[in-house]
Amino acid sequence: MSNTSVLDNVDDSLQEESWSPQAVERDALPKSPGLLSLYAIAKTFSLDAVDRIAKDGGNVVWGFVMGWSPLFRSLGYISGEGGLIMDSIRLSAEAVSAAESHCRVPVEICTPVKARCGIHHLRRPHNTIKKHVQFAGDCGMSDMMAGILPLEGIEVHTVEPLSLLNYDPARRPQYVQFYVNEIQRLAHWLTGKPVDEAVLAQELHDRNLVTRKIETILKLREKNPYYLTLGDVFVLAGGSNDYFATDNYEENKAKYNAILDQIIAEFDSVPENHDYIPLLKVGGCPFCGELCKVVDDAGGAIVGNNMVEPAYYREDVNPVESLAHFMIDQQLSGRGEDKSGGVFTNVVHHIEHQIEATGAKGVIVTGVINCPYTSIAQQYWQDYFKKKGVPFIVMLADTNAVPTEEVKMRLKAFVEMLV
Amino acid sequence: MTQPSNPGGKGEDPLAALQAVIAREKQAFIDAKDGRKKIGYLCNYAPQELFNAAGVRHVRLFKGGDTDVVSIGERFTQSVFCDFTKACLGSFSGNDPLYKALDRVYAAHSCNTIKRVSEIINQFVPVKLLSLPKLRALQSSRDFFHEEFIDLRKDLEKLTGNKITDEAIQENIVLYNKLRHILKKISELRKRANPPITGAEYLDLVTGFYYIDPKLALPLYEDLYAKLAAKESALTGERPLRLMMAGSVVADGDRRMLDILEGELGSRVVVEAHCTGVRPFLHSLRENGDPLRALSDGYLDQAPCAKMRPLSDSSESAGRLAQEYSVDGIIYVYLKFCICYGVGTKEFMTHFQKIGIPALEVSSDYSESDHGQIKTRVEAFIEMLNERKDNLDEQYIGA
Ligand code: SF4
Ligand code: SF4
Repeated sequence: MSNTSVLDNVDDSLQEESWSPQAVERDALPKSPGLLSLYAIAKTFSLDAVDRIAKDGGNVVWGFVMGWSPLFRSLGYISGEGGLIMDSIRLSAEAVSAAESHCRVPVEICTPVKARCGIHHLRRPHNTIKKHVQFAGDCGMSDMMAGILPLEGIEVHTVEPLSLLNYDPARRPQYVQFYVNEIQRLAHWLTGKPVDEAVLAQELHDRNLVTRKIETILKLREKNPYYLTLGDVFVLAGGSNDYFATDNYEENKAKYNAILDQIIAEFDSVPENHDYIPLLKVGGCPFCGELCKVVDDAGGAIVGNNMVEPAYYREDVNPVESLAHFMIDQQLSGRGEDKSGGVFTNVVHHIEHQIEATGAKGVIVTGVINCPYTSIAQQYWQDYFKKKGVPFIVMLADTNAVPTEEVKMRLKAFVEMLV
Repeated sequence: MTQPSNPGGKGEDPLAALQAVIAREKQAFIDAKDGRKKIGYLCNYAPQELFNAAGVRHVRLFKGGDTDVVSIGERFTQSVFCDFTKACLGSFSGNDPLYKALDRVYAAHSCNTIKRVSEIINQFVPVKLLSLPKLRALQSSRDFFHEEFIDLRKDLEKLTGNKITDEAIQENIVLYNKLRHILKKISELRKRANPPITGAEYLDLVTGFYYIDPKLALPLYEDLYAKLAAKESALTGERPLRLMMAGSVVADGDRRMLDILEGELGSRVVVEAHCTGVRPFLHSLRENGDPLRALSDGYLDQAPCAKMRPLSDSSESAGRLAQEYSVDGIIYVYLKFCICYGVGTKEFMTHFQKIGIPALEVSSDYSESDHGQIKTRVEAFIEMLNERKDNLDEQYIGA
């Protein structure tokens, strides 16, 4: 199947929609057809779509383990968590109130956890997805939320984590064996069988091909970061987990790959633009699109983010072990921060490396209000950057917040200061 | 302030004597310059037996309650962390002499907040963070925790230059079993209708377990037990209301809730389902077989904190304790931003309801600002319990 024919199948009406504000507001630039196709397939992955599959008897599970999405697919399972997170942002007011009043989640707990918990409670009467996989190295709030999910009629499988602050290379075989056990235990819980290694190996291989393409796109972005904004990059990288697929996995995998190829090809004709102040964004994504726009309008461009870092699965070892290695390495690098149970003090080295690689002149640290993990990490990073003389600004917001004029002004002033 | 029970009656107050020893030992820890390494540990999943067998001086790091120290800690965490961990960071950063004296800190990944805070403490003193499984029934988790203890043993040997023998571990298992047993027996005296000590006194005496050399502590506790057991147990006047305190850690120095419950409202806390009361003394370690294995298994098998899964293990264990001590009600207190007990509230409260014991949920911190509000809520709860108790007592007498 040629690339063109794959993309021809993308719903045209969706292509017309300006789902990505960043993509359509760059009037000076040609619109990226690849990007429009990307948003079109991204939009097809929703909680409703996942629900439909579960109702038809398909294998859907809540929760996820960072870096192990190929495992879920190799076991024939879809994680509905992405849809849940999107819906939790949309429905947060109602869900938060349900979480506080019915699930008794204290008011000071972060919105993402309250919203997800509340949605599970609201869905309970008609919920068809009764299983949740919890990586216990995930942030403590999410992990505790999983602890009370049995009260909402959801069975929870806990994946045990390692704490690698004192990583000892000599113990690596033990660490690998630990996660191998956890992977096989998860496979048994979901399917009653061990992992099919051949299927998993293929998934890992496919994922590596995709990662290579994303890495190429990130590199090409240096040519003109306005062609793809950071928000676009997030969607692009988000798709590498699951190709936004529900019941159309192989089809979407092909479409997604074709979209990446198309975007790479588009960069041939994108005009070069190096007239911007390169900036790095560190941390999660509150008001991501808006933030990029303010930065762009002030003459800056976000050229990197520690949450979007290409990483590869080893193909020279048994695939189950490869997943174990992947988990250990992402924890050690601090990649994925709290989602991977990483060592957050290691993230600074990562950031430093990105500053060097991108030539970033300043750092925008973002995070969710009331997230303890963001707050402690931010303080640490701030202290670190201060010592190194790297300008930085901290922007905290709730997940569904719209930035106020004051916030925008602060950010604008920060960028202009760097000109 | 909590009304002391003066357990010794006439003559020297044994509790005051014990407090004097604790204060002396803390100071000795700070002052000691004999070359013995000084270590601090966070949480009850760090094995004292192994520390003691290594020949280090060791203390639990669980000071708290002081808002000034909390605000120093906030410099690292901003406001959105539990006050316990903020106080811990504040003690390191504010140069608390006990914390400043440390050569190394050992922590178990008991909750994610502790994990994060350990990484910051690592900037002050080298930290070793142990992986702590959540699924203690799982053999692979138990095996890995054993490997963590093997590694911990090596780490302590490297720190001290001392070899830790199996015999020394075994000896310390026996010694600490005796200590846990006597502290459990002291607690059980509170099963009496007229408990010989208050809840605050029990927490204060228990701090000795974490600060005093175990060989010195054991005879002191045995003596204290004998004195408390000999105290008049018959009830004169109305039976005090019996309460269990459950939830987050109650730090050494945080007696806010106990002051309200016992000092201001006259009830008695007779048992605790939190990690600084009787809960860590409910279990005994195996005294035969491979001692390090006995240690890793024993620590996993202790009465679970809310970190463990399923969470119902913790709520059921707390419920059993409440029933065993025949409490009239439960005060479930968690520190604001405590992920484990804050987010876990529903599980605990649902279980307490299921077993028919009234419970009140209170979220708190170390500041005094909400004192009036908390007192009003607790007072209303206690009034309700008193009415209920009177009805039950009447039914009992009439039966
Ligand atoms: S990482 Fe922070 S914001 Fe996200 S769920 Fe955890 S506590 Fe909440
Ligand atoms: S269990 Fe709660 S109180 Fe204890 S350290 Fe963790 S968050 Fe703080």
